[in-house]
Amino acid sequence: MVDSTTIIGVFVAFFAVFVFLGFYGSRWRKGDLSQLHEWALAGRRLGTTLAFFLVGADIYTAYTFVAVPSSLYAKGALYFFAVPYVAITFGVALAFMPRLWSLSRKHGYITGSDFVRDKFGSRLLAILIAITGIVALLPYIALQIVGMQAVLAAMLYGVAGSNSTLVEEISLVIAFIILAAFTFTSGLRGATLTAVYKDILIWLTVIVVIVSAVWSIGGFGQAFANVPTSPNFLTVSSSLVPGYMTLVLGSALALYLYPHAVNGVLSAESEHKLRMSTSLLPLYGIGLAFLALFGVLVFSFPSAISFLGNFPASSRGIYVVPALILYTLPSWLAGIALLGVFVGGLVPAAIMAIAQANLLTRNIVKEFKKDLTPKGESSIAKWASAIFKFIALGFVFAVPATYAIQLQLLGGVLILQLLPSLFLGLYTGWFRKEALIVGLLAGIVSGLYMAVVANTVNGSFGGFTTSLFNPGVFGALYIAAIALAINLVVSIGGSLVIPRKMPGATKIPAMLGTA
Amino acid sequence: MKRVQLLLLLLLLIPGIINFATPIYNSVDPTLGGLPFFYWFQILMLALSTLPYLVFTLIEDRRSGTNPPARSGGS
Repeated sequence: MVDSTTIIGVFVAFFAVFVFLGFYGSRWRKGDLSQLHEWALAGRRLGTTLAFFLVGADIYTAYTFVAVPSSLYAKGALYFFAVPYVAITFGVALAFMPRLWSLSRKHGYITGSDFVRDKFGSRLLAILIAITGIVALLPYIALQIVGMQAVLAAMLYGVAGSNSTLVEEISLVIAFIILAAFTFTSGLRGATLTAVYKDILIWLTVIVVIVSAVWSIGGFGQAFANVPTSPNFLTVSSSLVPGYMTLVLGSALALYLYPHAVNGVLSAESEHKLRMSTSLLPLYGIGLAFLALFGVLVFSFPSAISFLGNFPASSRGIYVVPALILYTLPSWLAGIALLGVFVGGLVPAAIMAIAQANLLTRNIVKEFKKDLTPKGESSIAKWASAIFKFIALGFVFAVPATYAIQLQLLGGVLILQLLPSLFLGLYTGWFRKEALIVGLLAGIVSGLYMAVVANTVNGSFGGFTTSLFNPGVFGALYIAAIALAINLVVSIGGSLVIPRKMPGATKIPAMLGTA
Repeated sequence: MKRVQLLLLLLLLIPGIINFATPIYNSVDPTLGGLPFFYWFQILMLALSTLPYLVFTLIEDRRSGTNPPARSGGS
């Protein structure tokens, strides 16, 4: 039986510890927090372990706890793509990030956009990259909010039943105010400390739930025998293999283009420590893989399935993990586990909002307001980080909750378009800035167009439920990958066409003279 | 391209290609502890991928002179 009082009591107690750590961050390894790099990069002093946890926090988000299990539950094995994606993405990071790190240390970059501006000498390109980064993070933050809501709703259902909406909204607002307050005061220091705390709770949850659930079911074999025959849970149906592969590739290439991932990278103390923590991060994915399997295990627990039945089908999926926690763990442990999932959304949301704020001040505001003092810069960033979190709330309503993973995949469509400028730019200056600008825009526009077309059924748009689009060859593919291909064709083609030496100051008068 | 650069590239590419090549692991058998091959192979690959990544890190640190100081890992 679910004992709501105990669960809520434990949840609140452990949340208090979380809040303490968040605010304590401002005193930890004290630095001048009115400096942007102190506030936003924790003074660039994170060692292997802390960088591991901080970047790990970018992986272990509501994406992992809520979106992936939810999708697996609703759509089957297709959404296990998150696992190979995690394995590959750190190889991608090893190829590009240490280079970005050392350039940033040398030239004082705080964002990817800083680097692009310097490399290609284009303010417009840098601003576009900053805007893309900010916008791409909004749905990702929204996903974190969906995750937090799921925990609150599942936890409060026992007390207030389906009338819990009001309580849930009040709790969410309180959580958000606390989050905004400690991001404001502690910056990345607070996020790092809470990331470690969060991960301890999460690993505990994953291990306990997997062991006890699989034990009581009688093995994974039995669990797979209990799933419905459709969708396919055992393997990826052959028609979806190209979709699976492009989801893996697109996501793997996208992760380290996200501003918050770049932020995590730049806060590492040394190149060696960055490489070391990155090499080990695939291990983090093992927890993700087992969490994804919650979407399979849940079918073996009739009590959890009937609990899910309390919610409409469009939002049922997000309660998979909370339901399994509620119905397999003793109440006190369920309280801790639910808090782990809850702060699993809260911490990444903080990190993402910090990254957005960085971009806004460094790469947009400062471009137009040159005389910005370091103190002014840092203060705008602090306020912006609070505001962005609330803007992200708006995205929650664009996507049916069961398909919350689409929020992240939609962000991926946008962010992947930075690849030619940011990743390739680290190794070559061959690209022309004009071609990169047009390529970026072509990728974004075509990506959004495909996303709308793919989700329009019978002439009406019914919210984002898929990120696959069938271009007529290879079958249905992840939209981000198609858009990137278009972007690359334009960027490369454009760079070939635009003359190497732009008509300079000496040439133009000559041409005018002959006219 | 120098031999060491090729080696570094392969250390990143090989795990990448195996993880990407869905058809090679898209089957139910052999199962392991009741888990279909599709699942356990991909989970195993997470652990195995760290090995080439770590070798990459060791070589790259030595090569680029960002050798770890005697005390390493501390945070």
